[in-house]
Amino acid sequence: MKKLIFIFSFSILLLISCSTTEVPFEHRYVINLVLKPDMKFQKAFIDSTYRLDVPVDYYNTGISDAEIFIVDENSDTFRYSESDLLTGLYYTDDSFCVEYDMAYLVNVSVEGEFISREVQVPSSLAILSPDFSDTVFLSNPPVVIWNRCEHSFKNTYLVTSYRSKITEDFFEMLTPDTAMGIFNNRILFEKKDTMYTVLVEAMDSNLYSYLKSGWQYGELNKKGTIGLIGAIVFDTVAVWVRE
Amino acid sequence: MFWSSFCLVLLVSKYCVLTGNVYDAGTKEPLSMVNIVVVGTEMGTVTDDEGYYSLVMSDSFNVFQVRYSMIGYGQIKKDIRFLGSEYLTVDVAMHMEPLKAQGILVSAKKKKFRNTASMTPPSLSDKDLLMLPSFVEGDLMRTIEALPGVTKSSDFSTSVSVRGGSPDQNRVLIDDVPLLNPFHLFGLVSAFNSNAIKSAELYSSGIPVRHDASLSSVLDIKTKGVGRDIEGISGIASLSLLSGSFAVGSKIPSLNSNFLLSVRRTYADKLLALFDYDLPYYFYDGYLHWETDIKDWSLVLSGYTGKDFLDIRDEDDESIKIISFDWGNKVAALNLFHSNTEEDLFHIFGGYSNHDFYLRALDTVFITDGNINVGTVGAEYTKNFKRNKITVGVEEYYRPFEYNVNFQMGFNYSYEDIWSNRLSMYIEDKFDLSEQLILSGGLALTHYYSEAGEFNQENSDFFRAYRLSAKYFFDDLRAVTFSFGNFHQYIVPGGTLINMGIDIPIYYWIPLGGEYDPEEAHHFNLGFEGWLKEDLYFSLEGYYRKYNRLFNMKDMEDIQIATEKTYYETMLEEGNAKAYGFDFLLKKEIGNLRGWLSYSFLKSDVVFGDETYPTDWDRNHNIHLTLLALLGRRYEAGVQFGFCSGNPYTTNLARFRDRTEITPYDRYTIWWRELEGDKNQVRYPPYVRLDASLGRSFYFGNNELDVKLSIYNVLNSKNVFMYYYDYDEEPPVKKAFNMLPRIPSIEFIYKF
Repeated sequence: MKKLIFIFSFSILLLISCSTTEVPFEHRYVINLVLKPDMKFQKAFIDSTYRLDVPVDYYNTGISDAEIFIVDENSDTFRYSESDLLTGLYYTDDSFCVEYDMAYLVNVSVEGEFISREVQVPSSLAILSPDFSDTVFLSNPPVVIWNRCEHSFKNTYLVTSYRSKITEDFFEMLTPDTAMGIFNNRILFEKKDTMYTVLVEAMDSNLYSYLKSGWQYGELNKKGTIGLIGAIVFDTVAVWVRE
Repeated sequence: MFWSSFCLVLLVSKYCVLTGNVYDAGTKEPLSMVNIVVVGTEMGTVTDDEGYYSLVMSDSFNVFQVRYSMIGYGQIKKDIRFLGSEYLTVDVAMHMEPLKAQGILVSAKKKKFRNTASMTPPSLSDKDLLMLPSFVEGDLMRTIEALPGVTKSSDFSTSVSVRGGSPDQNRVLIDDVPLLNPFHLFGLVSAFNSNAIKSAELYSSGIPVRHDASLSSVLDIKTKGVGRDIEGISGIASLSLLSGSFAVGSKIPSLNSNFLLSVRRTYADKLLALFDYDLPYYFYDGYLHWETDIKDWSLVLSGYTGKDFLDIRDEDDESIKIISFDWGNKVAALNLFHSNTEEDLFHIFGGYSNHDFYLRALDTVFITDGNINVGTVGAEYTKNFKRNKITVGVEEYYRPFEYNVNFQMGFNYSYEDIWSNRLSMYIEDKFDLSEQLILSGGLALTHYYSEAGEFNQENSDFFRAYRLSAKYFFDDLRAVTFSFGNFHQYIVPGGTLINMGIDIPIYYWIPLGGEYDPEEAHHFNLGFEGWLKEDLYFSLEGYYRKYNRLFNMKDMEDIQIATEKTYYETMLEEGNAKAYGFDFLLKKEIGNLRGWLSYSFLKSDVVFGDETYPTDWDRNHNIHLTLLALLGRRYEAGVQFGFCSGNPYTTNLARFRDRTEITPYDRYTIWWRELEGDKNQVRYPPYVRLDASLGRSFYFGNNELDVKLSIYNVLNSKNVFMYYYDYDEEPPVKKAFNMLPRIPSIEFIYKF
């Protein structure tokens, strides 16, 4: 019995000695760049990862002196300029306009790292019904219909509803269809006599992966730069919702 | 006391007095609180601290029967006859009943040890379940976690992993029929009512070839009937902090039958309703066990039904359902046994098992429901020859599935014509090559057919399963064993809950068909087992498992959701795994102090895509000590202590600012996100938990009231379930969300 107690005690001490190991911090560059047609300025943000256990002045994060070039199908090249207002923010001037259904090559150079990614912008997307400022009666709800968008990843669309100007209170759902009976769901439109916005978006494959994975960014190159270089097209309609 | 009784006799000469001493036949020590009843009357008494008793009765009782009973001791009946004397002394020696019963148990176990070519599977009896410390109430699955080779990923779930296999790879059988989802309360408690369970055996090695439907283990549960020595109606009523249950059974001599019916239900919703509080959850379950002997046939009919309900509604408009979730199981089993001689046994069985679930969220935004059914029928014949024992059998499983998943907002899919059929024929031979060496082999040939009509997919193929085991006896009490075999699994869990990494074992079983072949694994085991003393069993077994083909639900972004067909074809990714380790068990099976000490070493890794990582339940070192003690004076105590390596988890390597703007109104505020490291590469601190219980029995004539006080996690160990970062401070503070804290509970069990 004494032997058993000894073995038992020794085993526990052995296990206690097996402490957990902390994984060291990993430095990575972070790129946020989403191409949007019809927008006057295209924005990008270059940043890096930060330690979890060290304070960060998060109003002043970002990396300067990065180079961002974008090349279209006609081999025209546009350069992003660095913002004087916010470190890490880059933008194009009004000479560059992202076009629907166009492929682009995005090149980013940051502190010696070079990242290149192809982006296919989907074709234009328009909500066909209901019309802007229509009144929607939940007792006889219309179906939201939009056109089929080419080059959207998996032919799926992200549909979002929210009270207009109150964007924290939103609900979103993916669909492979070009119609959705979103107004059938009374619980999404609890405030009556209120203007709601319905937003339909189509994404390229990069953005779709980011959205579906939720929290985790894909790696942009072998050296571990993370973030998103993608494209999105969208349309919105705002309607009055009544019982 | 003697003199007072004597004086009483003098005063009332019409009465006669029965006196005596009751003592332990083994130790000769006097026994107090022995219940003494004159059969057929309401007269009775109990012994005092010195084991003495006296019973005064009318002299009209010339001949009568007295029954002496006490928990832990065999009941004794004495026929008493007064022969003109007014004073009679009867001393009684009582024998410990548990010793006798457990002696039979040990004897049976040794017989099994001697007659099988593989390791003896660890088992639990209904008495173990009632005596051991419990979490709110006795739970089979929470007791099983103390057996060697069993690990788990958290306290919040009763699902277990056996020797590195995932929880879905354990096949749970109730009277030979599979139970598809053996959990209540989102997995916090299991579906097994202790009052209805007779025994449970966990096969992690030496799994018979007829069980070729799971990759990891078989948990063989037998339901309970009425004891053969029980006269009239008997039953158990119990009350815990979680539920109330009632079991009643009786012999029916005219039908040569007996039955036991057991029902259980949570009651918190009803109780809180009295205080105008609406608890939107409850569960219930029920068991039926019926045994009949008809000439040379024994018939066992058993059934189980259980259901969980969760119904949360909108406070302003009760017609709107925020979440409505119910799920349940039904099992019916019929087993027929026939034997002409002691050398053969014919077993016919049939059964039905169903699991259904229904989930509706946010009114009509998301609705899903499903039905999974298993119909099984089979026959098995076993014949003993001089050196051989041959078993041949055939089994047929038919599984229709039906799923409807309905995102009202636009995406719907349903699988209504999916079904699979599995027809197996098998033969097993145990061959006594010599007194020292037993060999056993088994071969099963299975035709598997699956069809998904809507997808124009079908799969028809033959699969072979084989088993080989050998046992070499050094003497009557020690043997070394070796076994290996291959295993298949034809259904896998799918669904979003598992896929999101939430440890809720409510499986949406998916049949493997089309391009998906059944999962396959190989087991290799080498063990040594026997008895160190007459009552001290030990086993040591090393194992290596190779999982050649496993399927796992992909991350949602990798599934093609456009149609039902593309969803089904792209939902699973193929991988492989391996697990190795060894299990040690030392078990004292009889006596006033019994229990077991187990140690398991485990390493299990899975490979999916280009990632290799430890499984969530990969606890490398596991020590469990379980003790049960009869303290005398009708007190019983139980202790369970567990000390295990921490489970692996995926840590965060860094944080970064998410500045993605994908919408015109900048819906996503700038937010800290965390960069995850490689999957499961670090571990939580070691897991420590001590549970304790103390029970006492009270007797009221033939009835018994057991009161058991249990404390779960006595030390209030803060075992980590997960880490998270609190961003209210800068830098963020790493905080732990712990598993279950200290939880005291009390159970009342009334037996009549």
